[in-house]
Amino acid sequence: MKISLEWISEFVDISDKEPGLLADDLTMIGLEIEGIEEVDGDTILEISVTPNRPDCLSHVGVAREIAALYARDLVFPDTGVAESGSPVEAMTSIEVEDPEGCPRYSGRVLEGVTIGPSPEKVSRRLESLGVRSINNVVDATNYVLMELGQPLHAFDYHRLAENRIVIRKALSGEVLVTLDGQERKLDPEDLLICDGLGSIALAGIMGGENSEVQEDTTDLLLESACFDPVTIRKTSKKLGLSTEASYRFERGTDPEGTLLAVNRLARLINKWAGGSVCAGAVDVHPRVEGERTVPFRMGRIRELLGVEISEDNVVSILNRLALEPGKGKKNEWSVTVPGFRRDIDREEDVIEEVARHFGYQRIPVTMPAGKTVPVAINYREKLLGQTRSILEGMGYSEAITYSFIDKAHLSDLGLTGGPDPVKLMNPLSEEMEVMRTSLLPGLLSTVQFNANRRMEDVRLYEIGSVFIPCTSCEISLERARICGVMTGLRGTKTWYRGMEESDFFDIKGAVEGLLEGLGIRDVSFQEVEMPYLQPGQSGWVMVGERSAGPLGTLHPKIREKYGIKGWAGCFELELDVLEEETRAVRSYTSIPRYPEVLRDLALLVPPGVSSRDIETAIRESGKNLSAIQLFDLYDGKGIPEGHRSLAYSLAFRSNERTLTDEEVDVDLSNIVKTLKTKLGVKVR
Amino acid sequence: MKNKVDKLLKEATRAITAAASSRELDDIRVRYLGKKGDITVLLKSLGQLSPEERPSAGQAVNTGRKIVEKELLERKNDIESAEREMKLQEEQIDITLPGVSFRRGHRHPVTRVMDEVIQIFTGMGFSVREGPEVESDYYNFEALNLPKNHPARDMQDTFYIGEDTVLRTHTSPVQIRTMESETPPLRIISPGKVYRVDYDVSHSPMFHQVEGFMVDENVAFSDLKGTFVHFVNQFFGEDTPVRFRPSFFPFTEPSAEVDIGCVMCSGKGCRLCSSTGWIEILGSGMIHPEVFRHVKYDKEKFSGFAFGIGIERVAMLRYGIDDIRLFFENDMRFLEQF
Repeated sequence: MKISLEWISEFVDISDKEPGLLADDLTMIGLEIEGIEEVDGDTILEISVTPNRPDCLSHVGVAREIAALYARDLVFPDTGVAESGSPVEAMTSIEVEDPEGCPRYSGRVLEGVTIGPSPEKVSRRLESLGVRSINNVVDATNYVLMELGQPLHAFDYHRLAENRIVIRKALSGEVLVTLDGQERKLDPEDLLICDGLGSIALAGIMGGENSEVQEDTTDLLLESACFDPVTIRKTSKKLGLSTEASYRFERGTDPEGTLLAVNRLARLINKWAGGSVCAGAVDVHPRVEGERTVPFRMGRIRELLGVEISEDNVVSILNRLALEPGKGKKNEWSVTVPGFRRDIDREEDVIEEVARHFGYQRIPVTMPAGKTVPVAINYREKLLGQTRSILEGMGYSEAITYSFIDKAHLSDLGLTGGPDPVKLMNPLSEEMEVMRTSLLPGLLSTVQFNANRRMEDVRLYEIGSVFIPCTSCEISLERARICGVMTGLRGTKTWYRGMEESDFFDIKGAVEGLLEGLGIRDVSFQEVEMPYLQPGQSGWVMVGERSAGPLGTLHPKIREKYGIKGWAGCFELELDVLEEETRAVRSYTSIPRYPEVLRDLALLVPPGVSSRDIETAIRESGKNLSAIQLFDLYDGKGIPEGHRSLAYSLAFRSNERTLTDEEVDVDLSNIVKTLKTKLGVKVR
Repeated sequence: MKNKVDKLLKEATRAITAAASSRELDDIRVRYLGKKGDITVLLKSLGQLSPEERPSAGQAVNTGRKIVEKELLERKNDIESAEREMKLQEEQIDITLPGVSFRRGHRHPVTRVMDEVIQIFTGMGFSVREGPEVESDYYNFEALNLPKNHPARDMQDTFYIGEDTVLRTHTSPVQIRTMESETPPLRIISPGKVYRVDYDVSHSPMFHQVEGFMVDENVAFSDLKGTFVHFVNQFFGEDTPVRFRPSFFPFTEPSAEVDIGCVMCSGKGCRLCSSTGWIEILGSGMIHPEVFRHVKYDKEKFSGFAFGIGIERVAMLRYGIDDIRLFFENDMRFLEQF
């Protein structure tokens, strides 16, 4: 809301206030000044008015706050009207069919006005507030709007069928062409201003073309009404049509102010456009708001604010704000709320008024006493902190991507099928339309973004929620996941060592390192094919019997799609699965007292036998086996086609004594036997 | 015998002096002092001498042996230290060449700031609670005194998933969920992602908040002030000016915006603070009685305050970042600065 200080000074004396200091003072009572601008010797303040204070969407409203702030007098604009025409009752009638939608409608009629330009001072004043000057009558309605905050409308009297006004709900499918030339299709939720025949204005939002004041208009019917905020807001939202009028009505206008405003308007039009004002005003007031009193307790002010404010001071503040404090029979306090304060209806509202004008800065600074509440460590937070540290230690940087993504990115990865992802009704764009069901598309787009900027050695991770659509739950299941993507070189490019491209075992190693770091012991990998992973280089990360999520080399076609030149791999793990496993308490295993005996075993492995098969067989058959370590893999010269040579270092140990060579030999021969009979694996 | 010894001694000394390496020296030791070494042989031959000759001859040989041993040792030390010196020379490198770096990952600045904020509030006895990002209209608005068709809903332009389902516009729904299931005293913060329909240099459709609240008997506005003065001092530094200014939020009454002295111009007035010298960092207020009514708390017994901090905003102030979109582009050149 733009406020002219020149205009303000007609209502309250601010001659001794420097604009910058006045702006600070207003900000500190809740009227935040967002800008100060000098225009033609006037100072315009841009005030950010909060939705609870529609009364401050006007110069008199702001002047009232200033008057209260500096304890000065408020001079209300002159609303005196020189009536000389015929009695208004003879000219028009107003009928309110919907008292809920229109609790009050005040009108006046003017005859013989001359439409022309406004006085220079008026048009200049309006223009400096960003309101276009049109003619003396329209300008007068805008002038009083800016002055008093009451939206007003002037109809061409002769264009009203039967010269009368009816306020009613629209019929289903009823159509009105508004002042902006748009045809508006209405329904029974919308409130209309009508004449004897049909609609002439969209109540509280915009006038109709058919009753608009024109150059040759001579007689006017002036409208100053109060409309139901919710009705106006619904129509305004539905039509996507917000105006100065609707903005104020939906926040609430003063039902007691309509008559004053229409009088002020008649006075100004009379002054600027001549003619005569018909005797009397029509004032239909089907819903009279009773006196609004709000009780409050002096003691409660101290309790809620934490400061003692004297009774005199409280009374003085409330009086300055026209909240009229008074004491009842039993000494209980209350305020009587004026019509323009739509925001005060409970004790806390009164206390806020006191606090605002007492000054927040005068309230002391204390630390909450209260009972100590033990701080519970949030296990999830702790786990995430560890996860981040481990991944960062392995060179992964954290990315944060949007939770809404392009549906096409999911189908690119073959992640569609099954129930549709959760969709936004009002997305910013198609690229941000559905809630992600995987963190991968976001990270891959990030890899692409960086690759386009020649940053091709990238390790990224993201921790965030995915939204799994499901039919049994309300909307979706939110699952927290950890996703990682790796591409480019294994190390950094250096002068010192060779540059090797990373491969499957780097990303697998990262997952192993992460799980090991989180204290998860029972980890294995199970071959599985995923649409976006390269066949034969992908699998589930198994924690115990449960899959924590996929791991693997990205399918070449996906890499191509995301502009990744070399190898790239990824993993995506369910946090819930990991968390459960990390909650198990770890216990200490005593450090071995007896030495281990090491034996190497080079094996010739036929096709179809995996490293996991061999390790399992070795573990099963070596009684004193304490560790297995693969140290060589060879499939070159001397090895039959399809076979591989795997060399393991086996450690044997007993907790009771030093093992003899003979004991180890027994174990070893059992192992060799098992490998041969079970897997067809021979010693080389 | 004496002559023999003298001759050997002369020979040995010459050889020792001429030796250039530990290995040569070793050979010399063997030649003279080894099992079949010249001096050892002489020593062994003493037995063939007459008892009269023996003492003086023995003494001569023994003295000779000691001299050789001593010379060997001295020479050995010399050679070894020379060899060491040579090795050190050889191993000299250009230490200004770059080190072999371990790749280090970087934590996102939003996470960094969020963790720091959480830590400060944890220090004041607040516990962390989380809630869903897809929320019902009831928890996101209704229970927070934001009825349908209320103009205050315009303050938070909302992404809708269904008629009554939204992407949460703040983490305040966690406040309601917590109060529904727990009883005061409570000190809770809820960090997380929130969503609003807004997209420019200072607004992102997704951003992060840490919201929190405290409910107990006799919590006053002055406690709210104390809490945030402490927060600002911890986060922005001890001497940062703080001010509290009246504002409006549907879920608090009275409400306050918390401003700090502009981090860029120290209050003199600049573009960042729109020449006001102050920058808004969080919204707060005493919890509205309507909110208490929804969770069935007795407002006569309990009072409390609530607040919300925009993490990207404070991160932008902390690091001097001028475009919020940088946080979600994840340019490595951006991430690697943190």
